[in-house]
Amino acid sequence: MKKQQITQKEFDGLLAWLDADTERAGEKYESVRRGLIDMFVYRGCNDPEELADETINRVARKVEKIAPTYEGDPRRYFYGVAKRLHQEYLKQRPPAAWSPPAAMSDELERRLACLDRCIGQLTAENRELVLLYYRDQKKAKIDTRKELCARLNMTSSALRVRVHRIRDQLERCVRRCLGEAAGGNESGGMS
Amino acid sequence: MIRGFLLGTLDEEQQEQVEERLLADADFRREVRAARDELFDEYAGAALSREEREQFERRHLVTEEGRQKLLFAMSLRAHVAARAERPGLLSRLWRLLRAQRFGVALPVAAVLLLALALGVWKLRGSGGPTDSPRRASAERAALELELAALNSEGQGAAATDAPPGAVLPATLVRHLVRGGGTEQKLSVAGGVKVLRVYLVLEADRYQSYRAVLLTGEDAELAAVGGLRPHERDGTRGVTLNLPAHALAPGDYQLRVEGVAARGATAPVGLYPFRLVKE
Repeated sequence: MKKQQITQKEFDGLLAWLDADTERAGEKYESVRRGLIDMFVYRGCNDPEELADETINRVARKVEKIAPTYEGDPRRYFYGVAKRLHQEYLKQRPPAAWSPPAAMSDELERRLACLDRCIGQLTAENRELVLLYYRDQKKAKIDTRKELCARLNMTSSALRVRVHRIRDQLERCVRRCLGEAAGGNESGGMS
Repeated sequence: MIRGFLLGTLDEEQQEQVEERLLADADFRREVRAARDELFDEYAGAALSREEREQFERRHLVTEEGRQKLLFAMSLRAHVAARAERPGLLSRLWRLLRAQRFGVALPVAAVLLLALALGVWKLRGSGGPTDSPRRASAERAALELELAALNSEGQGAAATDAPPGAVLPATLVRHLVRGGGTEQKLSVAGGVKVLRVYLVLEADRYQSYRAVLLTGEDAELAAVGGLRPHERDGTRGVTLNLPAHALAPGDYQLRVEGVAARGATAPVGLYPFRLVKE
């Protein structure tokens, strides 16, 4: 994929096309970028940020030409460019088949050690919420979550998003912990 | 709609609607991410059908990010399962202490804590499958993922993708008296990858069954659910595929449980066997 950075003028033109108000334009830009990243993640792409940025760059380079006559929400144009870019990506990097990692138990054991630590760093309320939310199976799990919704006065959707935020926090913490462990091993400082 | 989108089952128009919304709606993005987390949990917990598993693997496990998320989901599951077991002992201890008057409580607490410490020391020293509970959790999670793949819906009674000679069929019957009865021996040659074990049910009362693999000393190694009963040679039973590499020679048991509505399980029988490698 050919990559080329955009000029400040092109970037300013892009923002202006998204919205005449600078602040709203910035918010829409962030939303588009975040949405593109997620889209590429869900399409199984290995470099979602890079693809999102390349999409934006391609649009920015064309804004001066297309904005005067384009009708409709500019975000649809971004989406069209992203789809074409995805096709190019697939030609260059066809997806590899899934296979479980070798020594999965070793990987999991390291993660469990980090997860123990990270869960310990949550507030007591968040810790209890996570442990209750993920406890149980099938119907009992549904019942537990209904009880949580009632206790917290939340819809199931809002509860799911709240738990997702905590989980996101835990995933980042575990990644940092694994990175520290790897760094320690490289320096020979950790057993 | 979100689940269909994440599994790639929507038509093109629906997929476009969802993806365009991702670019414009932050709340919707959060909802989709949360739903994706739950799919990872379902995959790790063997709750997806075979078709869903394949769809999920094609879209979410072909990137490093997806593989890391799966390992996280598996470790979270193992952590929560381990925590679910421990409070039982502690809360029983706490209830017992609270039921005593203060003068009695302290010596009782001391005795119980000593017993607990001895129990923990014994468990750690016994060796079992491993010396570390965390290692045991990790091994169990890895084995359960593999069992889920081998036994996902549509897989149990049908042929796997393994080449001929790689699958060893066997039939086990329930033992009525623990430790008694004819020894059920499975002889496994070098090229065998999968043991396809047919567990004969004396009475088929449930829509699905769960099998727990135990060592001969009753230590749980892994569990797999979603086993559908079917007919074979005039009997009713469930078929369980076990990865041969995960079983060293020795004595094992399969504890079969019927799964009722609401997910409650009821014991159905114990199926001991001895594994011998040729």
